[in-house]
Amino acid sequence: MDDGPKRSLKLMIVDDSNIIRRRIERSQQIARLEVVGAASNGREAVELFRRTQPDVVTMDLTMPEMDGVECVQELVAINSKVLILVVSALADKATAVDAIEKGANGFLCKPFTDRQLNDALEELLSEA
Amino acid sequence: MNSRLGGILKPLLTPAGLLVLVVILGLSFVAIVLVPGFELASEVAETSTALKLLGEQQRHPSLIRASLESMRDRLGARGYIQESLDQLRASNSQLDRGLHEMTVERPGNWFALTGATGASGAPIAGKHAAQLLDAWARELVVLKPVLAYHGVPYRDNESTGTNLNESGRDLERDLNAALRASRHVLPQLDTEFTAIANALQSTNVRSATQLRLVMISGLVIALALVVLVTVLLKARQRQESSLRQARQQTADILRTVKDGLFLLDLNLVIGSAYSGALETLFQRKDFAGLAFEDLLKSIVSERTLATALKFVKILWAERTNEKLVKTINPLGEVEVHLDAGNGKFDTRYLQFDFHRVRVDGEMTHVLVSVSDVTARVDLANELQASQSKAQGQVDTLLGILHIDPAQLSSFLGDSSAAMKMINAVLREPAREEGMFRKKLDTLFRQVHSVKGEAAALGLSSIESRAHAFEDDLKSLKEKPALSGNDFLPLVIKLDDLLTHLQSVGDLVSRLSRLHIAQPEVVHTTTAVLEQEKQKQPEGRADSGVAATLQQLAARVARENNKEASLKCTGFDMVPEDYRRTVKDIGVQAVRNAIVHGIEAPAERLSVGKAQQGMVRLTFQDVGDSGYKLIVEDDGQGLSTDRIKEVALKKGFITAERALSLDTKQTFALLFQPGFSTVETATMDAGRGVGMNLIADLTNQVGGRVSVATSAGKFTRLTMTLPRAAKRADDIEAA
Repeated sequence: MDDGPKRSLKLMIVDDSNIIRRRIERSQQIARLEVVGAASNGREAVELFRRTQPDVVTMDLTMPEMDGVECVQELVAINSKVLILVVSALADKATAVDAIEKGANGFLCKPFTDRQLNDALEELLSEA
Repeated sequence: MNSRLGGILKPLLTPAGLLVLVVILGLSFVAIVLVPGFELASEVAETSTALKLLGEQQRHPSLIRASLESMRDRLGARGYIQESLDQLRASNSQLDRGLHEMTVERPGNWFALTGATGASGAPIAGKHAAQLLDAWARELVVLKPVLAYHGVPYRDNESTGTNLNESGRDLERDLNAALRASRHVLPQLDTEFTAIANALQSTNVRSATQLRLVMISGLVIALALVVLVTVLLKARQRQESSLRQARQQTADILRTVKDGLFLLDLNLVIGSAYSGALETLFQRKDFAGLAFEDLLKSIVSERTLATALKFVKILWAERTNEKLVKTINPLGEVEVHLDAGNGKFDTRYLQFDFHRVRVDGEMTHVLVSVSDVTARVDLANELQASQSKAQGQVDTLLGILHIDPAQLSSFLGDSSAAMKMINAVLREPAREEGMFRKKLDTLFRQVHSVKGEAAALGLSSIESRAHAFEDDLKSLKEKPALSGNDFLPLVIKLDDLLTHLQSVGDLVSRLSRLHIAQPEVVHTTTAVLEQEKQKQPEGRADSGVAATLQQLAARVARENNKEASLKCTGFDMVPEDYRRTVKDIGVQAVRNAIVHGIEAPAERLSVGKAQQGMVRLTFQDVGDSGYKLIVEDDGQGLSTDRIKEVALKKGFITAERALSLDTKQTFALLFQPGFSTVETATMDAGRGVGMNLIADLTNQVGGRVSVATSAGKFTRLTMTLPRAAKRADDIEAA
């Protein structure tokens, strides 16, 4: 609908659970967003990020190899304009705050409904 | 037209427009009134001076003429002429000086002959002045010889008397010439003087008129200025009062609003304006300039504080999306401990909300609103508690419906007896340590048996309460020194357990009433319950003991991942006196057999046994010597080494003693209070009371216990009970 003049944005999904990855990919219904990749840990995410140069990233916090907080820091260092939505459980607010401090833009609490996911992405993109 | 005028006037009617008007009026006052007024005034002064000067000069021509005529007359009469000559000289020099003075160059020169002049334009005297000077110059020519005369004009002769001498004749001639010339010239001078005076006069009149006009316009401008300044002052007053009103309203709002409101700057310091509610919320007054950290430091945990400070900081980062971080606000609902004075702490729940404050798009502050949500949190907790209570009641109800009524009724009877006993023990006076310990042991056994039966019936709500009571008893047992006060908290737990048992009893009786009220709806449970109640007094019956034990065995096996079957024999021969003892012993023995005796299925298979273990409970009437209750399992048997090891660890025996113990003495250790080979206490075992309880229960009725075991094959406990049971529950009657 509104993707005429606005260019489409690339979305990368980072989560160690493939159920969540698929869930986000399937549920997101923002016309401007196009999923360009999914990573299951921080290290993979950084590599994929360099290759696909996404504009928007959804980021899990607890992951093997490299955790979400560190990954956020790396991604922002590569591209300071990237929009990052942390998607994690609310058990540890301190870690979520750390991730925002390192440069993530917002937080979405797991578990989430489709509506909540789309609202959060829409809100995130309103800044772009 | 009107609107166009309005359009022009409107910007002028603002305070700023009015101020511009005042400045314009002030400047025009200077330009229109002061400057021309000054010039006009100086012109008037100048012309006045000129008129005065002119007036003085104007009489000189006639004086000159009079002097000349007087001289001629005196000369004719041979009179004294010097006086008139002096007069002529004086008039001449005064007029000459006067005319000279008038022609001196000066600003606003009214007499100037040519060239630039003052503000009033052309020289007033103009051509009259030129003609005047010209006439005067001609007059001076004829006057010159007269003025120059010296000496006496007469010569005295005796005969002819006094005659004119040579110089007298010359003077007479000059005088006549001068008089002749003056007859034309002097009136001309007069005319010019009059003309100039007239010109000056009219100039003066004009200047005065102009001055009056300037004064009037000055007055008008001054009036306008006064009006404008008044309007401006009024407007300013209005503005100030509305400002004051706005300030007052802000103060009123801040004082009255229920939430705590304050602003945080970039350094997380609280601003000087804040709502009065803060003082109540935080029990302090010094907010202005207080660091946010210092506000929170003493009332929240260190971890929450650190996260909270970080959270407020991230709000200042433009990257952060304010809406998308609301959920991770660590102060969204935070438990705080406020100093309530007198060393006590008041626990409350506060909710902090943070909002960015922007001025012209730039973030200047974070607005923090704090509200007390204690009531909400308490309500939620209460709701949850009542929900779980309701759920508990439903569970209990469902639990009861599933239980065999005979068992349930027997359980309720037994536990009420146990409760009475516990109550009695608690009330029993005791002074010394030994008595306290004994009391504890008795309580423990009673609660343990209630717990065991409840577990056997699947009444988990009762079981967990009894377990909690046991926990308390256990921690008391571990205390090095006991006093009467230590028992006080037990009353609360006991009360909880008692209340719950009563509510179960109530439920049961309500169920029976239900049955009576609706006879056509035959509820199996209540129906059987009624029958059972009628059957009981008739004496011998297994009263559900075997069934209880079957259920217990199945549950204990399931929960310990064992497989076991229980076979009960001879329970219908248990006399009523022994019913409870047999059941209590049975519960402990079956539990012990399954938890400690029967091996895990895999282990059994590996040593060539059937996967399912077997526990046998046999009640026998052995004639005169009384009864025998035999509990036998085909498990791993008792290991003397293991028993010694545990006894050593628990400090029941020393290492030397361990070496010298024989098998019988080793087994005796099993019956010591607190002995158990299971490390952690579960619902089923590990408290170390099982064997001890069996021994106690047997001893109470005057019986004895013997153990037979074969490592890896079986364990058999034989309880020999006398024909007539010793009254063990005397205390119950107390």
